[in-house]
Amino acid sequence: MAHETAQTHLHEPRSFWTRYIFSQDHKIIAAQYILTSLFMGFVALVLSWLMRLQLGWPEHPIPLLSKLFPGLYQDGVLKPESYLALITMHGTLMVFFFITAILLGGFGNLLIPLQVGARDMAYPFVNMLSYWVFLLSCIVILASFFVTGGAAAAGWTAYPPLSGVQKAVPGSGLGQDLWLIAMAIFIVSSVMGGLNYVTTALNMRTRGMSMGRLPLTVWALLITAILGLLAFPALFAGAVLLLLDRHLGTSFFVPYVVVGGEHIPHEGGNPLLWQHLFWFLGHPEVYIAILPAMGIVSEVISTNARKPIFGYRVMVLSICAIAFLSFIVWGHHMFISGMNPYLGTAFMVTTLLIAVPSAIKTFNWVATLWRGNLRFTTAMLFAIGFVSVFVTGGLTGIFLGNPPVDIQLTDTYFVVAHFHIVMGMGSVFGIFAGLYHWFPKLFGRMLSERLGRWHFWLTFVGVYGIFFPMHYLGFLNVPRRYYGFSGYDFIPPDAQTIQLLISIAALIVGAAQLLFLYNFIHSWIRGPKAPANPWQGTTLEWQAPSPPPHGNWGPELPVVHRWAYDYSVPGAPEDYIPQTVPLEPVPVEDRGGDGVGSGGNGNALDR
Amino acid sequence: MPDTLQRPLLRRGSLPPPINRTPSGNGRGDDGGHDDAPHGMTQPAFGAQFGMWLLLGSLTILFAAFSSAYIVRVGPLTERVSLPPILWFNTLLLALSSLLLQQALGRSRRGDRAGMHRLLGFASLLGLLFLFGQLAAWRALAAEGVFLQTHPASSFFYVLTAAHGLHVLGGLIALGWAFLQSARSSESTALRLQAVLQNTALYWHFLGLIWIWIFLLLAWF
Repeated sequence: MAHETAQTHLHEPRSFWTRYIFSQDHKIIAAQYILTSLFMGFVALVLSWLMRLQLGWPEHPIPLLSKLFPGLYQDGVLKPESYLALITMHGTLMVFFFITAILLGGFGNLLIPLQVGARDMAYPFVNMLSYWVFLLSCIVILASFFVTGGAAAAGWTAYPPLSGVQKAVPGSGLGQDLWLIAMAIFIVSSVMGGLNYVTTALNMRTRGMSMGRLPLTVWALLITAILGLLAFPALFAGAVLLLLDRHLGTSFFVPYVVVGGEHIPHEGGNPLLWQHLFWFLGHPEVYIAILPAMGIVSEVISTNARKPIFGYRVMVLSICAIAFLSFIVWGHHMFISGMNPYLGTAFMVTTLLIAVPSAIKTFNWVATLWRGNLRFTTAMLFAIGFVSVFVTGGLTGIFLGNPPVDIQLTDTYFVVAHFHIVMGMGSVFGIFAGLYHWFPKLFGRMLSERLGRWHFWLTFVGVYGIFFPMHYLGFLNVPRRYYGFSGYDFIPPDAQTIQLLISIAALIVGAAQLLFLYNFIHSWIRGPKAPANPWQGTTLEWQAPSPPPHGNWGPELPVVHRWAYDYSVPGAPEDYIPQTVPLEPVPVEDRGGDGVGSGGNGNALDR
Repeated sequence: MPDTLQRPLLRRGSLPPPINRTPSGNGRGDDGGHDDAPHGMTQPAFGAQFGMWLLLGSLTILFAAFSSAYIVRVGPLTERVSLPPILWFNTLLLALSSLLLQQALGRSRRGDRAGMHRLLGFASLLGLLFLFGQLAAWRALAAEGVFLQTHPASSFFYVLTAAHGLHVLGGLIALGWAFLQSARSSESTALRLQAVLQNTALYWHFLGLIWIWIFLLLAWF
């Protein structure tokens, strides 16, 4: 690293292998992360279809599925134990291998160096290693589908004793081991990535790029990376201890248990200890998933509203406040565990406090939209969609943050609805906004906006069709994670009708994602060539060619003279002023008093 | 804010600034006046040390997680491991090793390459002896019939010492590399060697502190 001279920096790797496979270029690594995590997300999506098929049409035989997934199905009907593996793997793949990986690995790699004006990451070799270790973890977790007993089945939270006793369910065997090992490998990868993101964002900023001029995406990614560095190791420790419990006869987590009349040799282990370790990671993790999405949304909304982001400083402070609070709320996942009510109250207070910075951010997004020259690009639609789902899901968070309400609703579909809308869909909408916005920069081609709009509307309406009715299921006390609901007297038969409607909506939303997949692949090959600055953005990455060359900036690093949000500056000739334009010599058109930006001309959408 | 984030890094990197890492931008927003200065292809200078500090932050959480698990799980119980006396000796070894490594770093800064080489050798040797000492402690416990699964305190004893020992092993590999490099170091590798040494020393001292923490935890909690 220390030997990189001025010249070697421009030395582009020539061979296919060093250029596209074992690349140390942050943009290639970003593309590798994005493609890999999209694949993982797609696998997780398919798993959700299989669950919805079972829930909508319980035990209805579909012979084709037996052929496609011989391990999961028997005579065309999903095996009950397979359902447990499906919920576990759907959650794990979505949360870690799709959302976390694409936001930090994908957008972090793409945007941090470009937006701070660096040529690459601080430690390119470690960066490359981070991707390859991530890929290894992907392979390990996917492999667990094919081992005896199938994939892990203890939920994405892997609570012992279910996850700690080999004979508990079929998936508690080798599948659970591979789950733990894959998570440990993933954590190693994310630490390597995190070191890079933080160091690059803080130390590689180009001349003039003060912290107060950083785009909010970089702020969000920086704080998220710090969260990851401080949260993930707790789960690593937990995974090590759980593996020892499973194989070497210790009793960290597993208490005295009897499985099938047989005493498993454990004594006095503390299952709640795992929950504490898991949620010490787990709760910051949901902010690791949502904060970068918030950063992306801030950027997209400001660009497409042609207005400076409202309350930049407060936005930064809110990100920091959310990040700080995220470390002291983990107990709200454990209200049901019989914790001391005073402790529960403390966790309730910190949990509800998060509503304050969240509401401030929401207010600022709406204020940014207010009376802007809105351009409804697909990215903008997804960004506004983010604000919508974030508010909807956030409101139910206030319910669940209260122990008395939470205890009623724990482990019902209300919880499923809450976190899918706020954290799942919130992150996913942020990811789509980011993909539509920066795809031209990364791949040098434009995505189809027409398909994009179809994708958005089907997804947006469909998502509410899926998750809104789940709140009612929750009020009806329909438990989550159940394979089937026949034979429970307390569940009214109408609940099945709701389940059916949810399943139909889920399949429609699933089909809409295929539309995106087609758009992605087709545009990558055939899409119109992207100009350098298709959305007329101000930040540095738009001043580089699309896609940026190796080293990003040609011979001279860009110099930053202004903050990231100079949109519609009164008197300026265009409705945006890139960060590289000096403060003083802006040529001001003499148009009398009416100099407000000329919004919308030359928009990429006019093509 | 930017200044407080920047300054320690620039100051602490007491490396002689290598020619190829001239700072071209420092992110301080001082865009008045310097704009005419040539800034070419190079990246801003920063200590590789910054990344090491972040890693140490991450490792702190790792050991904090193990420690809090210990406190929660073992705290309410009465059974404890009777610590093998050799641990005191091991602690001394690790502390001495840290001291020698710091000395080696000082030698390398003064350009005394032979002295650095010698001190590095001793520091690595002591590190290696520490690991063997820890193994001896395990054997002593095993001889008493105290194994990983005997009781929670013993489980944690083995887990904590193993987690620490593996990190020491990683540090030893870096030290061994530095030792071999320092034997045949040329001008071109000297800077790299010093950077590696500086990072390894930081990491090594950190492991020393972690060991003391673990020792205190096992002995008195």
